[in-house]
Amino acid sequence: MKDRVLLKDKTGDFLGFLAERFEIVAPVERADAPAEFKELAESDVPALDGSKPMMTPKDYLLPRHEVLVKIDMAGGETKVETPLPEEKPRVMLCAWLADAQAIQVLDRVFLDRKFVDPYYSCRRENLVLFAVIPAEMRWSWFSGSVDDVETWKSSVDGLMYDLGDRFYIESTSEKGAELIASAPLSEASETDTAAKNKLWDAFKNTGLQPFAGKALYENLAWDDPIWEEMAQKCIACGMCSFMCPSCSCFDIQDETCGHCVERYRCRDTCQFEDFTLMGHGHNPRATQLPRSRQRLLHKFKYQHEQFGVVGCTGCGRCVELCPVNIDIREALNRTCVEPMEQKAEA
Amino acid sequence: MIDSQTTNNPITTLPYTPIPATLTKIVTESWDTKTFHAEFNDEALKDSFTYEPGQFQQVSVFGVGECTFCLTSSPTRKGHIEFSVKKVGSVTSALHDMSEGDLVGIRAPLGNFFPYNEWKGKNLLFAGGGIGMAPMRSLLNFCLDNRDDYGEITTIYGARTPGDLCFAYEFEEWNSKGKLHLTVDVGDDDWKDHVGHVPGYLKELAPSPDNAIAITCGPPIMIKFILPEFASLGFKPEQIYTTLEMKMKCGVGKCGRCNIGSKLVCLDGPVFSLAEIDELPPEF
Amino acid sequence: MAEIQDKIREEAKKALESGEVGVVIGWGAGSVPFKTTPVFIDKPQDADKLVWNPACTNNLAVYLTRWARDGKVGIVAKPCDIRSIVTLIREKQVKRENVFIIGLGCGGVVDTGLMEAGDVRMREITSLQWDGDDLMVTTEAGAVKVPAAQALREQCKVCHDRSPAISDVSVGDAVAPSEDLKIEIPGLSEDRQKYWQEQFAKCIRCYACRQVCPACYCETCFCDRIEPKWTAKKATTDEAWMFHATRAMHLVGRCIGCGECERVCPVGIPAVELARELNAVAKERYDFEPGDPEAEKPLLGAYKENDVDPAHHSE
Repeated sequence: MKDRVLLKDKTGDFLGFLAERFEIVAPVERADAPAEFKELAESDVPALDGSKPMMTPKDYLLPRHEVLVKIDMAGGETKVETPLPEEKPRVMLCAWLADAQAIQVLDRVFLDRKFVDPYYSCRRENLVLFAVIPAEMRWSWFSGSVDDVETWKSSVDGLMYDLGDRFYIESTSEKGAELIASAPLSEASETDTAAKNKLWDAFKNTGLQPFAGKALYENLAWDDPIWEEMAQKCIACGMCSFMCPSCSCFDIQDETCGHCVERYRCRDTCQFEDFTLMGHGHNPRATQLPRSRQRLLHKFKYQHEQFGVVGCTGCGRCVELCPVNIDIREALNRTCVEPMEQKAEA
Repeated sequence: MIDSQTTNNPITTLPYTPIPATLTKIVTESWDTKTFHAEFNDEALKDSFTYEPGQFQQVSVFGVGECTFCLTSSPTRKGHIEFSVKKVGSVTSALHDMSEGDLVGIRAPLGNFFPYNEWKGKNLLFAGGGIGMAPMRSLLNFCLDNRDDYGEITTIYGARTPGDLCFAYEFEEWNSKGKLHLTVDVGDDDWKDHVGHVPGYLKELAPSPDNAIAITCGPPIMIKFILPEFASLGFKPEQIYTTLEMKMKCGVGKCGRCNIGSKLVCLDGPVFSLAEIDELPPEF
Repeated sequence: MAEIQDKIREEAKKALESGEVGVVIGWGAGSVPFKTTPVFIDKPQDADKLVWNPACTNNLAVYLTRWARDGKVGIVAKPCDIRSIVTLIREKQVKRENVFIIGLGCGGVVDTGLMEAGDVRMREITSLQWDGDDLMVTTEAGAVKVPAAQALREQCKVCHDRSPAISDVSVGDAVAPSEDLKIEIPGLSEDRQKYWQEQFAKCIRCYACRQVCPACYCETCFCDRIEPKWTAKKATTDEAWMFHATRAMHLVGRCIGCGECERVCPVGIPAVELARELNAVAKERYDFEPGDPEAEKPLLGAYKENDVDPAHHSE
């Protein structure tokens, strides 16, 4: 498996090569808003360096609004139609590695668990996934604290390391190797390889937290006082979930238009009061405290128990964006590290 | 899991797509509860559709939405399925306004089921309150239809008033093939049976836990008070089964709202033994 | 700035010690040096957790409807936050006697996003301080001066109300107001429609704008209602338009322009612009200013015979 480099002034050739074989999905810059993953139109210039805020790839794989079923009741007949997305070879470029790993979490929800989600599956099957390691890591990243990121390389088909005037392109799967072997790329020099290794180390060590390497799922307590503290501050918006690369909870709603009904799904979150509110008025999570607890335990405990992977990949979006600075890293340090140290002292 | 190849039920491949079905009969059970009989419009599916007692379904009123109901009919009684609906919200109200011949959409069967195979040769004790009888009715009728497989089949069923008791048209069968004890919180002039809450009546009847399985469903307050009664009668957590209720949208383990700890009520439930529930975080 | 912080702590401590309030809501140190976080101080000895620095952005009045319902609470508040409190009192959401306001003069707070766009490496920041009109950013590599024009949040640049309108104790000196900014009342135009269409197309319906807003205190927001369903939950441009436009209409004469909605929006929708424009209309037609303690009634609660009829005012 030979690694190669893409000189940035040759990006057009590379994209052209890919476009002949794949639908290219990549982040595209927007005015006053984070770049968003979309299928590249010819006029689109992808934001390939991965250093600026971007929306998550989940917005492509699980659109914020997706029609699941169309029901046509014209003329007394009922036709139920299931509009599935087109299956075609796709390549996704420049997802943050944390976001790519989050796709592993989505896979376990949407491709396993007795039922396969056909909409997700249509986009996910035949997807070649390249993650980016930017020249400068964002201040909020803490991937190396939640997991051994070396193992994440097998979650993608390849990595693109931003080395300034070039991307070092490393393949981590057969699919990835095949692709870069035939692509219009240059050979990597030893200097390139050394620079790439340095960048990888920087990524691994970015934002390392006191809780790094600790088995969080064993130490998160149901009755920790931190849930109350978080709930006090929390204003119950859905930003942490909606901007999270692995939060995938959704709602299903009907909309009527004449004879037709569109049943669609849209984002929902455990932070909203009505998320678990039942028709007869009972709500098992009636206050913010159990809702704050649910989001954290879901990621660090329940998903670990269900899938053997951690539901948070340390992308740092909620750390950067939470309107009231509820910092998930701080919460984990407080709930896990401090009690463990106290235990060790005793 | 039902194989879609043999049943042509699209639930496994298109799990969000409701299958058109027609309401063939609507039974008024009480002032706020109706039982609906539905038949799939697709003849082949109507014949091949099968399920297990304890499983549930998502019923669509097109344009209004979907709601979760247990399959209250027994799979031994083929050709149609039944679900009982208490009028509480928008979908249930829309259902209550529907007439025989109207169209609904159904996604079924979903969830796990009562492990009735493990219970062969045992005495079964059903203790239900109000609409909680609906999920147990499927199992009760299933066991009565396989009468030789089980020992005694005893049912304690209670409601607020005589008018709140559902499935009165089956009481005779439940009492002849098994034993039925009825109770109400408040009786009326015609009421000849027991008056009192289900947990108290259970204590009074004092069934033996030996070689027995207890199945109980009802409002949370009843469950809260009945569990200690079972315990004091000597029933172990492994001998007690119930169904849990959480808000659901997808029913197929994706939408993320019905978890209790790392269990999803829609996939790992709705049927749980008390031993399993004791392992879950106290969130319901 | 350090002096003011000391005074805040002192006043909070006094109020807690005397039992005047059960809790003081203020800003505490954030998880990183360029952020602060709301804190709820209920013990006098914890008053030292309160901070005052250029990152004290949150309008803490949002917590009052939750906290000041059953008892008296203390709140550390900037002039804009105080205008929110005035609105809450006028709308009978909070009783004046249930709030103990530790009021501050304020020359503006920072937009950390702008700093990131500059040369400052966020990870290396150790503290933020005002130094005259400049923001002094101390980093591991040394101090960097960022001119206020570059560091201040947009609405702070146009704020003309920089001293507390009401307070129980006033901390720090009054700050001279900035030049009065004339907000243009935009007419209807295709350009304007296109602009907002593009803005709303970005909306992900996370409701951070609504949740962070002290004026959005409805028990059930119109857009969460099932019957009647005013707007669907889906994140499409039309539905987002319905949500933001209706929210803006609900905020006329009530939005005090703190800009929290704009600050927290993860996709950069300047929702406060809409409210600002509508407030300019309220000012022009009814001489009403949100957050003005002199006004007795809310804009929509007061009727005068010579009021302009909006129906005859659609040029």
